[in-house]
Amino acid sequence: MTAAASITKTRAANIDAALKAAAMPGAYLADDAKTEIRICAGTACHASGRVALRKAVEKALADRGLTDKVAVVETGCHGFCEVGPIVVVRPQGIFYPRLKPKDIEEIIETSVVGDGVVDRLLYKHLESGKALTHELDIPFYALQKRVVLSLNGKIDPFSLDDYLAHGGYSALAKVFKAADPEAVIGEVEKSGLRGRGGAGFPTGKKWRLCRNNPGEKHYIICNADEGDPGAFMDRSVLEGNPHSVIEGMIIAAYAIGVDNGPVEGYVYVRHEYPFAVERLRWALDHARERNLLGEDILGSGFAFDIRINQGAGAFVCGESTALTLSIEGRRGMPRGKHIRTAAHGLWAQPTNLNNVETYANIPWIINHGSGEFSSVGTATSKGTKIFSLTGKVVNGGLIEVPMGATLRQVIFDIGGGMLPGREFKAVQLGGPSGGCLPASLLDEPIDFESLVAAGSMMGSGGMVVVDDTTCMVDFAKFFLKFTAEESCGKCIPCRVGTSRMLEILDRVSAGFGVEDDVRLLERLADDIIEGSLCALGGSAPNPVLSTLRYFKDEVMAHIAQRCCPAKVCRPLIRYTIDKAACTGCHACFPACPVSAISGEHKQPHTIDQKLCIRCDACRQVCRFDAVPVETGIFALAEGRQR
Amino acid sequence: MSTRTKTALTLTIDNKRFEARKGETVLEVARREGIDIPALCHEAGTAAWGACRLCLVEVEGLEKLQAACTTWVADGMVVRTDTSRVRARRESYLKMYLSDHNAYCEAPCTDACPTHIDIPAYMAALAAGDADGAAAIVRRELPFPGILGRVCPRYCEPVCRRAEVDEPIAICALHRSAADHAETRLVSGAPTGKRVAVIGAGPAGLAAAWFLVERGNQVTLYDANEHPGGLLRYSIPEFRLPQRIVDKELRPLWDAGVRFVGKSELGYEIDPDGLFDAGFEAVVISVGTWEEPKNVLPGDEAALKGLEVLKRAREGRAVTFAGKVVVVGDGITAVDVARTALRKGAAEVVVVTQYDSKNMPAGTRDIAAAVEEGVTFEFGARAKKVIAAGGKAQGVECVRVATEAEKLREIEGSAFSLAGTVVIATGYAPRPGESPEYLSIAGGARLRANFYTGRTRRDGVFAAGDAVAGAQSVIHAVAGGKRTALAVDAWLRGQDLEKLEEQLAVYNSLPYLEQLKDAGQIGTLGQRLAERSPVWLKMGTSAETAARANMPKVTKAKRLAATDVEVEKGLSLAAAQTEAKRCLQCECPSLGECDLQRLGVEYGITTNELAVKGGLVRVVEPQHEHPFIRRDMNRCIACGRCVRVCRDVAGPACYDFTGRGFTINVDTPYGEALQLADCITCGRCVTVCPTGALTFNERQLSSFRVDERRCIMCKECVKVCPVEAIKQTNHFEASRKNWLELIAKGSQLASGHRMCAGCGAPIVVRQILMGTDDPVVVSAATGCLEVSTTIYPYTSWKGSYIHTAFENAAATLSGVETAYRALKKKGLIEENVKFIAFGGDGGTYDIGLQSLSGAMERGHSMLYVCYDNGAYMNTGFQRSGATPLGAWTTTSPVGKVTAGKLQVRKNLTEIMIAHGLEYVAQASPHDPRDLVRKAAKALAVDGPTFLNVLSPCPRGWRSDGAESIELAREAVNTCYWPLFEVEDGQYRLTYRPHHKLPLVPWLKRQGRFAHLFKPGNEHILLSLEARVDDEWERLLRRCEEPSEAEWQAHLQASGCLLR
Repeated sequence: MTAAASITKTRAANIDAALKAAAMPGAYLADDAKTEIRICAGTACHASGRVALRKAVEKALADRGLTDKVAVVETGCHGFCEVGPIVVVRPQGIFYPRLKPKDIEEIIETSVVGDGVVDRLLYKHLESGKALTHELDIPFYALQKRVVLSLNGKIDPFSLDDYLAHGGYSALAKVFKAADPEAVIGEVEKSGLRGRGGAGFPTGKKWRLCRNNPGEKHYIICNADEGDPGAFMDRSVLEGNPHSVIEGMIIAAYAIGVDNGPVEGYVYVRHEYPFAVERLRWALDHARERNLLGEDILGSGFAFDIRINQGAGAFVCGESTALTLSIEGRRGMPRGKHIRTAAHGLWAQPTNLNNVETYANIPWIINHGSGEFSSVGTATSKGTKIFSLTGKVVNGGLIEVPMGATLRQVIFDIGGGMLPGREFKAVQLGGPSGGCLPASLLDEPIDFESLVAAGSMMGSGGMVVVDDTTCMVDFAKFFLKFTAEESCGKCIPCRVGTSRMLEILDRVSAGFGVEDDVRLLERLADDIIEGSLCALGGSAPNPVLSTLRYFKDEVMAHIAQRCCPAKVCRPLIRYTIDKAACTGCHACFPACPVSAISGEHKQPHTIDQKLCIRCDACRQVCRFDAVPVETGIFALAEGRQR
Repeated sequence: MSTRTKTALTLTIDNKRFEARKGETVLEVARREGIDIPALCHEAGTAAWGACRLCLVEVEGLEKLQAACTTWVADGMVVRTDTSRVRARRESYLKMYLSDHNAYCEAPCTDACPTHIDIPAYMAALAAGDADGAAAIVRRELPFPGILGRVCPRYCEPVCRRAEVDEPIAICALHRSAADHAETRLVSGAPTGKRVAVIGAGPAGLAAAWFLVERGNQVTLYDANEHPGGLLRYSIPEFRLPQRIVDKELRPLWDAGVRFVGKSELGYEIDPDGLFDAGFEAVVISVGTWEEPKNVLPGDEAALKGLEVLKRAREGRAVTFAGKVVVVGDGITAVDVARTALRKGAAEVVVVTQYDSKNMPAGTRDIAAAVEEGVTFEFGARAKKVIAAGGKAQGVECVRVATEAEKLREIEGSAFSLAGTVVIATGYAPRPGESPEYLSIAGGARLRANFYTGRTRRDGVFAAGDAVAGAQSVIHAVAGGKRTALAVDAWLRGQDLEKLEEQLAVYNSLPYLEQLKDAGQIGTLGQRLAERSPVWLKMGTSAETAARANMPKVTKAKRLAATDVEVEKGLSLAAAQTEAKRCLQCECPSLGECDLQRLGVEYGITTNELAVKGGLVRVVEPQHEHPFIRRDMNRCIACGRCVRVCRDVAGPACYDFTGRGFTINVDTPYGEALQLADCITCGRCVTVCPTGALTFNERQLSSFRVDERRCIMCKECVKVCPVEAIKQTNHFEASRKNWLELIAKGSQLASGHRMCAGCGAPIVVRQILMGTDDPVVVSAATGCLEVSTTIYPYTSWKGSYIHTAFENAAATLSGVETAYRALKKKGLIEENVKFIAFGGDGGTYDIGLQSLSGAMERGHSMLYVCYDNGAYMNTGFQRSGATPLGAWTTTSPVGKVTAGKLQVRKNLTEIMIAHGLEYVAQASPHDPRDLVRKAAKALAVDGPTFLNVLSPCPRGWRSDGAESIELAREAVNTCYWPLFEVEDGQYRLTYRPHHKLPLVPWLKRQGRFAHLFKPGNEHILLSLEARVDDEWERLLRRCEEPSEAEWQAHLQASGCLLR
């Protein structure tokens, strides 16, 4: 054995020892084989009542004197938000969805004290109606490939020991032991990992650029300013497994910064994510306490620490240059990309900026090797991708699928398809920067290139599904309104252009559109895409463009026939009462906020069109389906009269 | 050998190769090489910003356009800056900018008005409730707003940009209101001694007369009619324009000395030759178009003539109609005839016109009024022939016409006829007798004269109005009259009009932006005569909708019952004020200097599909709280140049962005006033602002100077000036007195003295003694002051005082001062002591002069103050050397032989200046700051100084003691007693009255001059006035100040409204 090899060996042993020492002896460790009650503490389940559920569980256990014997573990998001709150009983792994506190007694009695299953509380298969006991029996889980989310739902996000027990920080130790930053970057490059924030820039290449730029200090920033409407991927990762992100960041810091001067980390997380901030702060404190952050991490001699920077919620601050300005305490306004963040980022120093999901992939890649990572996915897009599936789909929630899965697999197989009686109309990918794709493209594989070719984009992973009750003009308006409002106002195409497009769409949905408006929208979109200073503006017209591309007929119906086929745009619709169906029950009377409905009891009612504000309240309360909605130019005339 | 350095690289911009250094941007290189890439947000010296997106260029090999300001140059780079693709993109962005630019460049109304009234300015005055101010602004360009406010065809209103919000402003009705509610006057200019004859007292001639008089010329108006007014009096019916209004509006002309000679027709009673012989130096011909048409239609000799009908009606002669009346004509005359006919008995009236209702030259207002009253119109019909029977017209044969390619074409087979009495009201021309031979006639109908100047082929003969241009509207005639008057005046002053005409011809053919740039080169007169051709950019606008004011009208029944009831009643002042507030105030202070305007014009953004009615536009309250920097962020394009230059170059960081997206705004921290935001008033933000959002408050800047009369030497300005522009001077050092401290210190002359109530002398003494903190030794020559303040055993003097038996106070004090110096030299006195001698007229002007002169000549360190009351007052009002010419005293009595003092007063101040003293000044007790400052200055001098202070004497002046200070003030404002100082021989006027007041009212308030207003003494009054004026002018020259005439002209030119 050479002296050098001996030193390396000693060093490796020291690091292993340090990692072992990081674990706190006697801490409770979540384990699939133990008797545990796992309660999902993701934001969705929290909203649907996990606190009450936990109290009920604790009480039931205490009543039976089981408090010390059965552990209650609050985990990160299980992903199946549609059916929250979720409880999983171990070691059997029984999956109980949509629980009420009153169900708890029975579950404890049957599944914890006894060994049975409460059938009536189990998840029912959508088509067969068969009760499914385990997570992996359910198509929603069975068809996913969970890499980044593998520990979500298994471990307590507040427990560093849980993470360590599940192999946490072993990737970091591996990196330290090898002590070869170039090799780390090479491994990430080989894995083919691309940025999960939207643009899909190769992560390894980004790291190398940053490492090669000299500076007084290098900065490692994690972008957790997830702001797309309907997106909650990063939030769930931070809430469910914050250490995976921290570990990824330390590895990045080591790869970029070791032997390269000091290096410092920031997590830029939005203020609206209080759970994520709380858990991240807790995780950082623990990591610091256990020598996983700070000076001489795990005895490797490498120093690195991470600070949390809370953003005030401006969407544009997710843009890299605006984000760095925001950290510096200045107004978040993007700048020209002629100055690269990798060379001249935060405080004018070389800076590496990746998003949450990207960093969370790193430990897995280091642990499992680039080969295993790149074996998943398509030719250009490797690994898995997390999506937040929302909208008019049966099974909404957080999912992780291999790159290259088709939209149909995600929406219909995992998501369970449309609600009964409804028809798939479009799916909006990539949030307000993406585009909506029609049914004809359901078999497109999901990867960076094919989505862009189809007029949408991967984005950070928001996926909003709409059915035939959605007006595409209205839908496009929603996203455009979002970007117009979130524009920072710096460059003219984004500032005024998006507002003008919105104005035209407003005009169209109000029945005042003219044929030339379509051309004008397309030209404005073109102007905005080409001229905008940053990607916010550069992608803002996408929802409108893809609507014009795939749903032009519906847009033209608003202009040429002055009608809204989906019966959504208020100036173009009219509520009437079907005299034959109306029983004169008066149910609609109190529902109408403007008292536009009149009629004798048990006589057919009428709606005063001059008063009616098209709020839909009467239709929703009518039990006899006696409020048909019509659309057409007549409604417009009445609207104008009003 | 190549001079390329190692770091140099080569790139191609627009097919030209350039060298550049690594690290430069494409924009920097292009700018350096003179290639114009538009950029609104780029600010050299601050980091590239990249927001305006106008600097997008094509870079070969890159798919997207690149912003030149944020693109590094690279070796071999190929850039194209002006391709159609680039231009199209820039055009789009400019449209976006303008769609959100809640402002305009120029007011289209002002441009559309033939006289170019500054409409936004008078709207602003009217909105503030200032009808006088509004009328004055209108009269700068249009002398008769009361008349035009009733009869103008309103070219201004259809172009009004308020229509983009709701309806145009009622501009016409508003200047009528301004005139209705304001005083009218014509201030004639400094007399030039030139006489001008104006032939034809219609709108053009009257306007010409007005502007000629305003410039100091004498004008005589000749007219063929008995009374002045032309068609205003003899054609426009009473129900549109009452005679009393014409009389009221013309009144100022006669008041200002214009002569009117009636019944003098050109070519008959008068001709230019005769006028030149009679001593006129220029003749303006503005005879209008009175010749009734002949052979307009076959058989029209049987028809009635429109002007004849109107004139007869106006003169009260018999005009009666019955049955159906057919009026042929397109203009306002036809409509007037029709409405008159209806009032004079016609049962039915039809107007036959070739035009449709919108394009008929008569104008929509009067057509609508006529229709309301019951007149019917045959639009789009051309009269072909008058059907006559027995020499009497029985009807008209007509044919329909259609508009084709902007030309009227008769429709075949559409003939029809109308029966009734026929009146022809079309095709007017000057009368043949009115066209002298040398006035070459174009087409037999018009006089030939230059459009801008009205110059004809004959020297000194000018022409204006309808006679030149053909029958047009009243406002065109007024505009022509004005132009000609200005030209005549300039010609009389020796300006070469021919050259100006050539310049104007060139100027008017220039593109708009060139016109803005070259405006300075055509001179003041050229600018007033020029007809610019603005480009109207289409911009977004946002204002609360507000209904247009409705003109109150007399009911139809009342109207038709008589010919002389004015139909429109006019707006109340309150209604006019409300209406004026609707004005969008289109004009921009940055006109011609705005980059957005320049690019907008260059890219032709005259249509803009992004600027739609009701579209989103930012609305920001303008901030004008800073004394020098005006902020109107409605014009802001958020380029951020001010933000960056203030933060990164100047330092204080007064601005930053607020809001986001469309509602982004540039504001101060917490939206506070700019001067509270660390502003150092460096003006960098204004100079970098590419639009009119940040502008200098020019008026404030030009008027920013220290008013020394009011300065209290607090030195605050010295302390706060950030650029040390105000420095501490000797004067500040010498008289470091804070005014408030002075007041607190109290008087050094005790009250209880026995001077008369209203006497100026004790006031003067108190103020003089405030000029120093040092101990003072005073001596007063025998006189009122001395006898009244030191009645044994009492004294009013709080400090040292030495009696002087006679008028030799100066000599007395020289001895005291010499003794003081000797004692000080011996070290027996340490204090600095000041010596002040007071003397009245005798002690100073007359018997004390020798003593005074000697003390001054010997160089004693003392201040001699003369309280000049213009006679020996304590001994019974005897004349002195200071008594003014014509003033009564007991020794210059008023009677049969003499009428007051026969001699002029001696100028003692000049005598003292001639002693070569270091400091001599004249002061008055009505202005204590000035007086104290002068005393302090004088006392700071180690040597002899002299102050001559006016001191009213109610007894001797025979004036009211309560008015003494006012009389002193007026003496200064009439320039009888100018305030000035002489330091080391340098004259300086310390106060200049804005408007020199006449002497007479001041004299009238003093009994000593009462006899001057009796018959026979006028010559004394005149020579007294002349004396004052002469001395004033002489003093102005010594002070190197503009003469009074120049001063008044300057005030008028700068629009000074101070009175």
